Amino acid sequence: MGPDEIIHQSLRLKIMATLNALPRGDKIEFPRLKALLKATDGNLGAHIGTLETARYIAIEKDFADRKPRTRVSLTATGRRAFESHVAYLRDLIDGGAPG
Amino acid sequence: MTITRDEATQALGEIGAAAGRATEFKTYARMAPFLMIWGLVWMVCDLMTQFAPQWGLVWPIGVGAGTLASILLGFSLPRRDATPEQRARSWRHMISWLLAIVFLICLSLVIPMSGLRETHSLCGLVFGFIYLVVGIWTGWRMATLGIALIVLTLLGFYAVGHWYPLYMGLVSGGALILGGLWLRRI
Repeated sequence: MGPDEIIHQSLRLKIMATLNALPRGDKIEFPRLKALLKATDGNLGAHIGTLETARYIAIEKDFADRKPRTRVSLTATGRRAFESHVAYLRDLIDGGAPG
Repeated sequence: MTITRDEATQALGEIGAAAGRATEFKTYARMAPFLMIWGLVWMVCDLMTQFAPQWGLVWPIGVGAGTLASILLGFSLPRRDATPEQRARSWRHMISWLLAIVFLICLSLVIPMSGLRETHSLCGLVFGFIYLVVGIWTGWRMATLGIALIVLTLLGFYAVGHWYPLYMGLVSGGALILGGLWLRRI
């Protein structure tokens, strides 16, 4: 078991940690995620695109009160990958994984 | 790709901080509308008590309306596509708050209270301490709101005389409404 290179980038790690902390199945709106992570539109958008390409997150675009809305959620694949990456990090600190 | 132990420790720290902030946000988003409902109930009932004391039923009606609004809001929170886990969690939240109200009613039965001032202050203190405990586990804004409610209630109880209902309505009821708005701003 090795590190997940897609997840390990700092902002993507925070995105995954945030989504993983939400109740299973919950979606978070893009501006709210941006505020929580103190990220910029462009930076967050780029990293979310990377995570979506890896099928770690799902992006849902719709309209709420006639305004466009983008919501992000963690997929089952993403949750497994995140848990695996966290396990790797813990293992590394405990001396089990090569580091 | 190689990760050192220091980098792993730092990454786990970032994960913990991000997860904590997400939990804080979810708790605030869930509690804010309830705080505003009860702040409004508090404000309306207190102002009526101060300026139209002949309306003796204002508190039972206000508390009934607030409870009904909270139940309806609690039912509306889980979306149609909510998972069973999300629905179960909503139920647990609703039951917890209803139990807090039942606890207060039980307390008022075994501890005789001489009037609205005592009953009202007890409610303010109990909910203030609940918000404080929730805040200790979730985030400083909630804890701050709890402390503010406790301090304002004690201040009103000991320092405000005839204008106690007006004070509690504007200051404590207002604090709940503003607190709800403040929690939504995260």
